[in-house]
Amino acid sequence: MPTAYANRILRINLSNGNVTKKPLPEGLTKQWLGGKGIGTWLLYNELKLGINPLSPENELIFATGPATGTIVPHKGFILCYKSPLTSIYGSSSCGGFFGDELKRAGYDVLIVEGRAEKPACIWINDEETQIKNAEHLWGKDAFETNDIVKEELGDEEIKVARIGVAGEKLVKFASVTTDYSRVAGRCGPGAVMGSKNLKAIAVRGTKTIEVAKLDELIEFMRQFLEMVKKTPSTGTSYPTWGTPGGVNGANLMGVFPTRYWHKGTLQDFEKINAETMRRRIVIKDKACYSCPVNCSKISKVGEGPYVGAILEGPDYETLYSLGGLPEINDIDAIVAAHELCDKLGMDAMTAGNVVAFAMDCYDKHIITNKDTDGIELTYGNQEALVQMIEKIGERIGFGDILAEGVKEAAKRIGKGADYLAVHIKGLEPAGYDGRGLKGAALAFALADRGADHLTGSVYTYEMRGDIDRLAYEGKAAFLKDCEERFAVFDSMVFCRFLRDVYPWNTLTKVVQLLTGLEMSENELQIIGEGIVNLARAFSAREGISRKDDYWPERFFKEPLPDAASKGMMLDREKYDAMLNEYYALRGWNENGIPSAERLERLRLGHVANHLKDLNQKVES
Amino acid sequence: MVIVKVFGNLKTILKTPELEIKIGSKDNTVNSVLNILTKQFGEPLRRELLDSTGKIKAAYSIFVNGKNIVLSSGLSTKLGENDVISILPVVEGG
Repeated sequence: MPTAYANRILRINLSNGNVTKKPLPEGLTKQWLGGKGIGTWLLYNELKLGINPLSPENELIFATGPATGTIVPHKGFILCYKSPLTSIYGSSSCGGFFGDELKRAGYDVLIVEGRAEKPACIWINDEETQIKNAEHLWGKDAFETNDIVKEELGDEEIKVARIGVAGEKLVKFASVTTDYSRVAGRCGPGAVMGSKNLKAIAVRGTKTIEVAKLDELIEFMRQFLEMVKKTPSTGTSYPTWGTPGGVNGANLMGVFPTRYWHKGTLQDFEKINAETMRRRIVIKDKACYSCPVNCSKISKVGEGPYVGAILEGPDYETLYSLGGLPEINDIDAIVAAHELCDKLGMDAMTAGNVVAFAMDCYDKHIITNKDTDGIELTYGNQEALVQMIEKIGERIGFGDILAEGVKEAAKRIGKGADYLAVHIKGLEPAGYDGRGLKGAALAFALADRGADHLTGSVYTYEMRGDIDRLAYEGKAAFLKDCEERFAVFDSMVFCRFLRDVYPWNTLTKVVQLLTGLEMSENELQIIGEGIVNLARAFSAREGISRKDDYWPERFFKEPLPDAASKGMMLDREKYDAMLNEYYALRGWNENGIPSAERLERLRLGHVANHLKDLNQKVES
Repeated sequence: MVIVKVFGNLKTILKTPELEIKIGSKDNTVNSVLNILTKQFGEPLRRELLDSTGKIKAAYSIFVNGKNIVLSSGLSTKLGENDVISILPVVEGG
């Protein structure tokens, strides 16, 4: 019976040029489904403890899911690696079409390891795999690289995952770009790729993906697509406004991070909201493979100093990072800055954070023009934002320090800059201020890759009023369920924006129809729980524990000043209680280390052995 | 007097992002303001904002001074002088 899997893992070692194709073990799909589940399992078991993320020993694991390449709406793939930005577990998912092409070439998973001697490009053409010289591509931006690779290989249908100059220069938050500008951006996968001297991976696949129960799946999809259309988020909000639809609400609530996390409302935020985008710059709506939602917006600046800037975006997250944080309410400038990040190949969320962090240091006279190579890093200076992004991507002057990310840059700047720096576990947060969203505060703090919004996604339910955003009570249990459901999402690999149409029972149904695996809701939830624990175990071995599950000190001391969140901050006692409750529900000890008992119940006995020392430390 | 701010398609229907509405001492809830608005702007507003049963569509949120009314008394939420009512597409997140 078909299973929706390609049933193979392709492994490419760039140090010795070895290419191996191995069957995907059936046990692996049963225990981990695909995508994030399988990627995290491989990463945990294959990486040695304590390796340098930029060494040849790190791996880039491109993992597709059972939904990839099928008629069921999905994202393309998820990338798993040890993050050079945080030195812990790293993953980043990516929409677009690269994952589908990889799976149609016959591979569920692509593992890249080692380091090429010279700049290289991998070319996967169905069964044929070559490692080609890419010296002529080194120094090219992410857009040019895409065009040149396609032209050289002579097929417009080829999909290319590549890095820009930021990846070559090992900017710690460099991204991997696919399609025109679909990006796996968070936690620096582009730097890992750059450290391997790997400029691009080109894929062409022509095989068919067969699902387990096609007739039933078609019937399921008829009803499912109706549901997608009827549901407010997928039928109205995302298609009409995209993620920027959140800008109004976040500002009115006072949780839109502004002036580098000192304020919660951007003055004249209407100038960068979804309506302004629609009126002024959006030229087209776009969707991923087999998705009816069309959440993505293609924007182009039509006039003024940034005329011609074009990109897939901006998104809510970049409107916050390149608009709110540096206090820039010019939508054209945000498009230009975002386009530059995409061109250089770096995460626009972290890029906005590091520049705004430097603006805060400048504002407080911790740094001066002498440090910034003469750039006046004042809030609202859009020219300075663009100039600084360029310097970061090229690692020129002060940009070389900021290219390390906020945590390390604060250390190097010194003079109290670390008090201002906003990150959790080394990752700069997404655009929701935890002082006004207590569940999101917990979710960001516990997310496996650092201050991430998507791992738990609790912010959505708090932002739209499904649950009380100011309550601490009940959030731990709510988060646990969300994390497990979304770990399954990331293993299928589903887009988070379909969250409202996939309660557990629908999720279980689609897993069965695609894969033929007769799983119950409970079994699926256990897979999700296993993934959460495995990712935590990966990072616990690297030194992560309770001390890392906190927002920066100033979020407990300095209240939000604006709108409906005026006066709000995190209450340490209540926050601790929420954290304790979460650990207890997870079966983790008071230091946030997964217990042997829980790990064994999740069939992760060998992981329990690895964590024995960490658990004993607490007991003694 | 209360201030009503609208976002999304509502701005086109009301032809303004903001307007002031007089409320009485008895008719001082969100619901009474919505009644005044739908009377003034008629069918186009009703179609955009309300479902076939007359309820606010799930695609819209209503905030009073930045607080979502679903977490207070819903449409019965009482209004005071100079309160700001925002009617906006629901925040889904990104």
